[in-house]
Amino acid sequence: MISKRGVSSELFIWMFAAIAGALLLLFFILWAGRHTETSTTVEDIEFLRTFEQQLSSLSTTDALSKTLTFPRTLTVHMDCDSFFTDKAQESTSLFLFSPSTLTRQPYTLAGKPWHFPFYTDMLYYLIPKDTKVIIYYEPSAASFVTSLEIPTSLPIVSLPLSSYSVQRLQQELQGYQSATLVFVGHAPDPTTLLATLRSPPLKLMEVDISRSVVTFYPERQDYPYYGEAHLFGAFFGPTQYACHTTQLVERLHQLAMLYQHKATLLQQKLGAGSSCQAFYSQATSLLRTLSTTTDAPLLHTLTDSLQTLNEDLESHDCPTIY
Amino acid sequence: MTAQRFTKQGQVQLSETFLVLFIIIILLFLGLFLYSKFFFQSIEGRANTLSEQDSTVFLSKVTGLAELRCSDKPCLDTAKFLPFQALVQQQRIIYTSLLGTQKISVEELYPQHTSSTSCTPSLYLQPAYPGSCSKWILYEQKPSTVRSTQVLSTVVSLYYPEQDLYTLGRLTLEVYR
Repeated sequence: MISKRGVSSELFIWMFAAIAGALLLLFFILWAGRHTETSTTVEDIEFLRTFEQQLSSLSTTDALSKTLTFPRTLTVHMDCDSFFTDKAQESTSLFLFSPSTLTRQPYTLAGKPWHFPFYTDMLYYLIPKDTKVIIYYEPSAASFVTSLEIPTSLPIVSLPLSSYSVQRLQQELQGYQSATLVFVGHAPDPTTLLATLRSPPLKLMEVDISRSVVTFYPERQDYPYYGEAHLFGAFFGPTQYACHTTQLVERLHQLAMLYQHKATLLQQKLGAGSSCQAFYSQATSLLRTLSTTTDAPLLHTLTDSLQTLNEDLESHDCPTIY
Repeated sequence: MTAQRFTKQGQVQLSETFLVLFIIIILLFLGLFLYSKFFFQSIEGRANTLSEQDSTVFLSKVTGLAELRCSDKPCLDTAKFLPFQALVQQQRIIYTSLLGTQKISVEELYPQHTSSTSCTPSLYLQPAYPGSCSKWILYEQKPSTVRSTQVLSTVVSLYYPEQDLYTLGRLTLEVYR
């Protein structure tokens, strides 16, 4: 009787200890898991915020270049208006052209101010090391290509179309992780070229300078480009290109509105007798249209006219619009 | 009699086990609570540091903002200040999401002014301008409750395109939290 009671009491203690211990262990495992998750999220948020700060802090210099290396454990995805990891997301208003996924390899961060025709914003390019962009140009596009102001940090090489051959290209691209081929003019049979050149991964595009249009292959999708800084964006971030193009036009509209207000104020300030009046009236009208239109050819025409007008203002010793 | 003593001993043993377990659990939870508290405090500290860094970076970003800066020189174009105020009113939502809850102002430091009058379109149109005013509140968006305000400022070169004149000013950023 006594022995049985002792056994049941001991058994109860063991059962209690086992259940309570298991519950405690479970609690600690869950807590540790949650803690690790929170720590990772915090680290990811911290990294993304710092990354955005690094980009922003470089926006004040016109010629910027920097090498960035991402932490081993982190994979960053790039969207048009945000950077995100599996755990965190940071929205951004910066115009960054990059591969859609960034992993631990080193990247070159470069930037170029976007003038169309006035300065509107800084455009950033995040380029994986061992990437090459080759521009082949037709004789008619030689002056356009040679006058491009390509920052030295951008891995862009321009060659005349006469020097193009698939064999030479294969040799040229050996040792690179990715490449972009840009044909200013007509691309020689894009489908065959993409089928022949499989390594390294190749992006192919065609630029029509008469229409200011860039065509991405193999999708054959046409997009307008506004100025060379924007065109370089197509080379380094084709995935964000369409979205950034829309955003850049919106930004251009905002600035056009600002300059419209400025032209009106300058017109009022200088008075009716000023010789500058006619220029400001013309500028106000141009800027009003520029602040609303999304038509690519019209945008080009308006910006060209505005540039001429601004030069006229300068030559007549009038305060310029921009 | 013997049976009763055994039962009591068993009860005492059981109570001791419970007590020890209870104390261990209390200590563990206390440890976890304190650890979590310090952990969240450190996260809060890191968040504050990041916000402060954000403000400093933002200050340099404002000087490079296309809406305010000169086209080809490192200065702020004063002829853009009033148009910028008007643009912010016109596109409040866009600029609130871009600039957040803060106040951006510019004050002319040299040449010195006797009064710090804020510039308005009517003062701008006066012949005495730029002498008629010396201060611009470019942007202000306050949150419903302000817990703290971080003030940052930097010296900037101000350009008056109407007179082709350069002066010295201060750009101040008041970040509301």
